[in-house]
Amino acid sequence: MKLISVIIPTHNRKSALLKTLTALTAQTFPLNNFEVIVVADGCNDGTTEMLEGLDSPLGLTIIEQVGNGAASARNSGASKATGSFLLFLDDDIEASPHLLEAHVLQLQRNPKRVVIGYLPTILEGQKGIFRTKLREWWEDMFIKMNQQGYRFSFRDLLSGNFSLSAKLFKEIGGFNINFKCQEDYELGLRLIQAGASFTFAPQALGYHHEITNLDRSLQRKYQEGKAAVQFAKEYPSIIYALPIISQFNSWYGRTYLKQLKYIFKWPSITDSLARWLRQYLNILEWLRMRGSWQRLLDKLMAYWYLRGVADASGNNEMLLTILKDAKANEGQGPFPLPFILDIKNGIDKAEIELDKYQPVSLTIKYGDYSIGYVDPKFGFENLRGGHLRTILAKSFADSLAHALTLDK
Amino acid sequence: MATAVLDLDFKRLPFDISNLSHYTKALLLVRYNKVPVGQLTIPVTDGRIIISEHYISLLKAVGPALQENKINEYLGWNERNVINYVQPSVTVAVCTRDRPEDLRRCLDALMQLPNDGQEYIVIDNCSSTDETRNLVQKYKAVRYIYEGKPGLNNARNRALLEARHEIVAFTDDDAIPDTGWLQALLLNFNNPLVMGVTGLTMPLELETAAQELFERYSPFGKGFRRVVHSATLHNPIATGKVGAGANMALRRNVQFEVGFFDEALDAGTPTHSGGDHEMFARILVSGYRIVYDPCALNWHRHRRTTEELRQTLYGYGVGVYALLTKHILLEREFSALKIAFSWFKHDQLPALYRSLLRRPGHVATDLILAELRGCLVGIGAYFTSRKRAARSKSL
Repeated sequence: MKLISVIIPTHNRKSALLKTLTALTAQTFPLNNFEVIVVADGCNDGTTEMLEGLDSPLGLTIIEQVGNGAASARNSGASKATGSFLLFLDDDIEASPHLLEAHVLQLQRNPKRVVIGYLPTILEGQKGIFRTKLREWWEDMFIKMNQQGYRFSFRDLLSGNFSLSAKLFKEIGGFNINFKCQEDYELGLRLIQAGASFTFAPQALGYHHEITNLDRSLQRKYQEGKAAVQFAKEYPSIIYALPIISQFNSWYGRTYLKQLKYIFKWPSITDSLARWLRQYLNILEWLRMRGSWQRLLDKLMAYWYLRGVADASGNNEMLLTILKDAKANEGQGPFPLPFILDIKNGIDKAEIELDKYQPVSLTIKYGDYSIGYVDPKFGFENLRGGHLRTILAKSFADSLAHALTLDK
Repeated sequence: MATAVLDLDFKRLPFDISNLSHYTKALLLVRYNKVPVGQLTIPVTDGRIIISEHYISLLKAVGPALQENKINEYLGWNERNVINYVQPSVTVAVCTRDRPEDLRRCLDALMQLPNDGQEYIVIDNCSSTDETRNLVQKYKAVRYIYEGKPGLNNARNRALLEARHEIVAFTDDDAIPDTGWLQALLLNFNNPLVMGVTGLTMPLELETAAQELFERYSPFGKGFRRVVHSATLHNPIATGKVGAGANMALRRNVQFEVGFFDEALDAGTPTHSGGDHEMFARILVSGYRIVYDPCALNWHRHRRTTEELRQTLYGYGVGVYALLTKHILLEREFSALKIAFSWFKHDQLPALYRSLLRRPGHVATDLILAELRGCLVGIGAYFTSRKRAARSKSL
């Protein structure tokens, strides 16, 4: 029995997979204390033959299955794993030598820990503004997790490089194989609800080769729109954490609703329009009109997202029902009354108290003075002591300053 | 007519400050726990200022930044801190040319900085005498490097090549750093997208009319709030508020990610200035960020004579327009036209108007005209300078 099992789902990416496996042979963590399970999911490029012929020092297990998707492949891998910890790695991640060691170090501190590794991206061939935006988007995901007092949400779980205990994975029931897209978010949500402790480990670093381009990103938005409907059907309350609802609730809500109507009626016409506008992006880029470029891209992303929503919900009525359900569930749910925290006796004491109760929402007071109210946020981890200073500094600095002045 | 420059801490404000009989005004830099929170200018009466008489204006000047710092102190919280921060190693680079007196003061101040294992280099850019070399050799901790190609940007590029550490912090030879300068710069390199950090530059002295004019007309300081500049926040080629080369630090690998400084720009070439801002623009266009942090404080000795000031302002005009010309003609950055127009409309034209009407506190007309003349020259200067740089390369 090994301490940790590395599970790699793969689908027709022989050469990338080979690099991934090679990087795993050069770990600071002892070779004899981990195993590697590769799940070849519907491969027909000779991946299995390559793996069988491989003379590798890794304790390698190969599982073959017909193409059921990454979620199912990861579950199959986990069912064969003997380690007490599971590390899920994508087939295009080149691990740095400390990756395994860093994961294990974090996992051993807390049985409920979910460790999210760092995936700096190596851009492959993207050009222009999209290239710079893509890099910013990737890095920002990790930059925010590295901020002090960061409150994790289900959207922070990235399936490319994360680990948890085999026991926790089993208790939670593994991945939901019905999700073909955003299956990591779905797992993340159940983990957050089960009180798992998310953490970011920058030393658990694996280079990620990013081959996407602008058109593929737009396609991806369409898939995300479809996944959002699936999400909303299973978890009506989560709809508030999805982009769709914030778009509906914002000032643009009505415009989006109209857009949706047109999308339902004449999808081929709106699609052509969207494709034409996509070409217009190139002109804006040539003219270096970055602001307009960004605004148009945001619109196109929103369009393809809504297009996915429309396709997945089938018809207008059904979508409206989903949205109405979400509306009806707003502010309900199992949220108890906000926890009242007095910080007058010092921030340190308040942090200890917050750690003890870990509420979902919070009313902060300074003696008789009211400082602020922290909303319950569905899909986010409960409030901990570590969040308190950042919340006060970022959201309630003014009222805290008043309270401190009046108190003197 | 002279202005005293005073450095005060809000927690230890003196009742009064005397012995200022030489001065008619005082520029106060106010700090809270060493952090600069505001500045204000007040009159000196009978060689003395009484702080409580100006307390209201002082509070007004420090207001928002003071509150922020008080709250952060109470909470023990700092927006720059991240969970996994490893302080990067740093090389401090001073680019200089024939200014041994200034350089001595700069090096003396650098030697007072807390030692975190930083490296010091002086890039001597074609000094005409041996004085610079002889001076630097007296400082054991400083490495002397001679750069034979004239041009401040050539010297900066040489510094990027010679530096042995991850970050290269640049200070002008006519500036001196505050004790916390280097550490404040480094604390902002807390994520991989931060490619550069700039700081607050205050005047070292305002002894002459030329120095007072410079500080009023084109001060280095960019305010007392920390700003993370990015192409998302504003037009990346509008770099006026980002900072200046007199007080900046860059990742050494900027040379691979973004490129070297443009050797056709800045002092020592026909374009006179603009080299730092061209680099800032390219960093932002490439999707990286530049943090302006007032905690990274240094003090700059402005030019003392009106003639030098005229040269400086002329040089600014040339550099800015050379840079804008490059943006428009080589990079299709047409918004550069807007930048030029708004500079003229909001700064140059009002200054000219005030000057012609002899409004109080106006800048002499010939100085403004020197800057405008520089702007006209600048349009052609970039290409003259490029040709010259290309020729010197081929030799």
